[in-house]
Amino acid sequence: MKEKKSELLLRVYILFFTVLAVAIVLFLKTAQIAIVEGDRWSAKGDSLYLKYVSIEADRGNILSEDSRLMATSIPFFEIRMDLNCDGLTDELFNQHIDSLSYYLSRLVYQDQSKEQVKQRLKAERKRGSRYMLVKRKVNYEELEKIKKFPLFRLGRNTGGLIVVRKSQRQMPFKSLANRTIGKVGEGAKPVGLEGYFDSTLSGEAGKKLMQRVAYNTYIPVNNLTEIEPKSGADIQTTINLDMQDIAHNSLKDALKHHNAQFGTAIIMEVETGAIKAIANLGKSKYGYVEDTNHAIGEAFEPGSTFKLPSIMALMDDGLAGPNTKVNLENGQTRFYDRYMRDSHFHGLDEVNMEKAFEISSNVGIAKLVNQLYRRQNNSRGYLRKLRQFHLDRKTGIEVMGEADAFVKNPDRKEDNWSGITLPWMSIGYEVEVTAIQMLNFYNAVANDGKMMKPYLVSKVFHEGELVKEFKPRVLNNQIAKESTIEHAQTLLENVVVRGTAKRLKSNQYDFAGKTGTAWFDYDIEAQTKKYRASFIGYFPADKPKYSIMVLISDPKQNGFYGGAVAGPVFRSIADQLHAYDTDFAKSFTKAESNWANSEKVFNSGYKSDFKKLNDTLGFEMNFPPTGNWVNIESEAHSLIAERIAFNKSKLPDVVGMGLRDAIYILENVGAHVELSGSGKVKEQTIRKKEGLQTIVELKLE
Amino acid sequence: MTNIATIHSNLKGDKTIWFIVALLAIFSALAVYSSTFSMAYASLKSSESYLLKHTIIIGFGLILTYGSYRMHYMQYSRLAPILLLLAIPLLIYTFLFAPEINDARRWITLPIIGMSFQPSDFAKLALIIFVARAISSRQENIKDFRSAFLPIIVPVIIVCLLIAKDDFSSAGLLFLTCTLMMFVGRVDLKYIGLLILLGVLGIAFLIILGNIFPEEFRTDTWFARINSFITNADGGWQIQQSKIAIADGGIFGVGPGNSVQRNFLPYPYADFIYAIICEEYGLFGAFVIISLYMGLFYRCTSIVTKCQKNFGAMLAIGLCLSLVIQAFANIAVSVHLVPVTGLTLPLISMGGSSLLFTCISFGIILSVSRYIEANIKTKSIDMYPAYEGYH
Repeated sequence: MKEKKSELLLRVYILFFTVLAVAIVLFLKTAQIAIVEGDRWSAKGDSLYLKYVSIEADRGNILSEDSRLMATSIPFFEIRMDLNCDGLTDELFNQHIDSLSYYLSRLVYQDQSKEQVKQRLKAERKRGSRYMLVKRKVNYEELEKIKKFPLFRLGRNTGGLIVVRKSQRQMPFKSLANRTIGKVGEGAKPVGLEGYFDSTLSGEAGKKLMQRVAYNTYIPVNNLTEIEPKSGADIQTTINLDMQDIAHNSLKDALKHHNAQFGTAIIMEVETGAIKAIANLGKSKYGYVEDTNHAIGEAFEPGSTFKLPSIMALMDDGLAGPNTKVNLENGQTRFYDRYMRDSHFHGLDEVNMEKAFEISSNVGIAKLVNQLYRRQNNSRGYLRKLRQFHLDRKTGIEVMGEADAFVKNPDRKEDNWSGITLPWMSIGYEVEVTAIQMLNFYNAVANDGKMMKPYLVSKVFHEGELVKEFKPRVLNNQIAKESTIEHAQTLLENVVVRGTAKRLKSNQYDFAGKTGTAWFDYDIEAQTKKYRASFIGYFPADKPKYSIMVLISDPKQNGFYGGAVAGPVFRSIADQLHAYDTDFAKSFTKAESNWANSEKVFNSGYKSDFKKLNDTLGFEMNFPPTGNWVNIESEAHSLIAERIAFNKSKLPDVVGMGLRDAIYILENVGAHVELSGSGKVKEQTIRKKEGLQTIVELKLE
Repeated sequence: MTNIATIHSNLKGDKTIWFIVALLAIFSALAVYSSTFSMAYASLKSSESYLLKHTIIIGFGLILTYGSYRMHYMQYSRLAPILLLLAIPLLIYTFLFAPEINDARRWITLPIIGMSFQPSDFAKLALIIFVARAISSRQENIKDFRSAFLPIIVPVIIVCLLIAKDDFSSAGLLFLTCTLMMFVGRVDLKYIGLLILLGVLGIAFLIILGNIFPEEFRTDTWFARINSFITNADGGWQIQQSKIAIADGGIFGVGPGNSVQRNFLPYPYADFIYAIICEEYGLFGAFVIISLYMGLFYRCTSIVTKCQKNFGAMLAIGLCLSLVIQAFANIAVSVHLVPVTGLTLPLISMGGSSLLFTCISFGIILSVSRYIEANIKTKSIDMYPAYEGYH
């Protein structure tokens, strides 16, 4: 028994100490790895280090009113090669290097021979390169070709092909509305629509596991966790590219003509507040370019255009009416120690307010406001009216960086309210507002007192589906009494009929508006004065459709008054809009319905084209249900569309058609067309030549 | 506090082993929570959901531990032949019909419950109980070949061979465990030598079979692992990742939840959980883990020294050896001392059914310690041979 026990104990102890020895060995080995070899393994770990890198989602597009692309992201690819990937054995490498070098030298690097490419690949492989740049910018078609190259076609882990997807923001219409579209990224302050709608446009970034192969260089690891990015949504703006083009070019011409510093032109739809165009152009060494969003991002002293809110305040508070008398004192008066002068000599003294406004008399408006409001709770009544007109705050337009308005307040010490603040404020000094704010105010006047919120984005789409729609929003249903609005409208019309803008009058349409000329570095004793010329107006005067603001800063030649510098831009834009917008063309239908017989108009052609014309211009033609081609005849006061049936045995008659239709029809029956002149087809003669070829001669006029 | 006091007074058995079980369970929860990060990331679930699942399994496991602890260990002796007779057909069934996953047939799904488990885990437990019983009941003539050695070794060979084809490492460890049990159980040293020879022959046999039926055997995997171990001084990719984890941990570790290598190590929550523990808790953590297993082994050997030829002693040492050998084999893989095996770290690694069998093993060990403790308190166990009368 004892023997058994000691034998068993001995064996248990042997076992115990053996296991203990194993445990010690395990611990020592762990310690060896952790401490003795620690640095080596940690360094190796660093080189194998992987991390999740976010993959940017496709950024959404910015579309114009009619869904044309204003900003879009064009994908491109960067091609790299992992010359030391796991699956790329020496055998595989040597087998394919010749053919790969051949393809690379032929299709990627035209300037390098196959041998040069081969040597480079070999050297890079030897060097341990895992992220060799093959080509930085490759488009999709090229990528598809490169993917089929020898070796590359074996994929990431065997062939070493690494494709890095990148994208570049592009604006197909170049500088058009560039600043409104805006920009985000690369450390710059986000601006414009891109900035405001950044979260909508950018979507959700995905994640991808990347492996570090060199300092700050990561390559994607395939077959591992990856979260697909979620693409951004598209936003459809209210911008009409044709109108943007009109505003842009009209403004640009004027800026050049006056050698001005910068300018802005905004077109707004009166009824909805939709912004149809915003042009912002500033002088640069490349000419005039969209640089800063002057329309929204900067507040200016508005000058005379601010006289409208001033007199509207007086009328709305019942303090004055259009016929209230005021003495212009020959164009000069004094408030405390400061003189105020009218910009033009007029030699008038006693006039009514209407006249003072029409000729934009500083003295007249300032005296009225000063006299009538000073007694009203020390100017606060006037300020209350400005608040009622929303002139003290941002419009809330969806553009990053809308500037704050600055309206002085006698209760705020830092504003330095003084005895001359009120009179000067009434004529647009000592107050700062943005262009969009002023335009929005005038737009409300045009819209019979209903103030809309100016907006730029109407819809948000995600992958073609409508996600969100922004409807026009009313900021204030009635910013002033109806009578005030009516008087204001009349006064603005009169500015054009007989006031400071009378030279801008158009015989095509009536419009209303106000000129403004602000002297902007009046506190500097400069040799030359600097001005900011502006014009805000709307048309047609009786049923306003568009309101337009034009502001030109520091014109250096050919005049400086609002009426002379900014006014013509307004006219140019309004003229073109008037011609462009078919709403204005309806009246012309009945007046000249025999146009179809005119020498200059195509009177036969493709049915759908005529149908479109008919729908757009609001004619009331009936089209034959069958056939693709029609001939338009005018009878008495209506137009009739008749089907043209072509006889297969006879050459089609294309007289009266445009060239596009004519060639289409003739070439479809196998004829060859020779032509002379331009316009519509006047004559068609057949000239037969060798074989079956028919030659048709067309004379166009 | 009162709860803990109540538990303390109600839980009999070796307090140290209870303490080790509790610590291992806590380590397990922490390490699994951290190392499932990348898996959770990949499946878009949260690490918490894995932690919850794992905690539930551990909780269930501890209930099993308690249940098997409550059973008198002599009951297992009676169950031994039945369990073994259940295990062998189950292994044959698995061997032939189980679905093939990663070239191996290891898992079957229990009908009704729907839980999948490895019959080899069950067979292991059954075989160890059986061997413990066989050794303790044949103590009188243990040196004899025919009456003692042969009846013990035949079932061992059958079970190990059935497991070996699909799970070579487990079979090897089981064989080693049984051999060591016999060593402790005073089997003649020449037969122990014979067993070692048998083991070598068994390996050779399998390799030959593998060459004849390359489709049926995983010899490719075995050779690849061994080859990688021999030829690659730094170890294969997995081992390198493991070493990086250990090196990053240094002495005090990078802190709980801060592991980086969990992203690269395959099965960081199972096969390479030791590396993750080293990374997060450093050498200090490694020391604690190894000490816990060593402490367990120490307590079990002390049971043997208290009641040498007792069935309970053999049972405790057998189950303990199985756990400790597997633990050390797992650690040895992580520190590149042996080829990659695919063994888990008992009670720490995530993995449902193995964990439950581990918990049962702990329960049985605790049951043994409870009654031995009780007997020592009254009188020496040798004074009460009545327990021997169970078989």
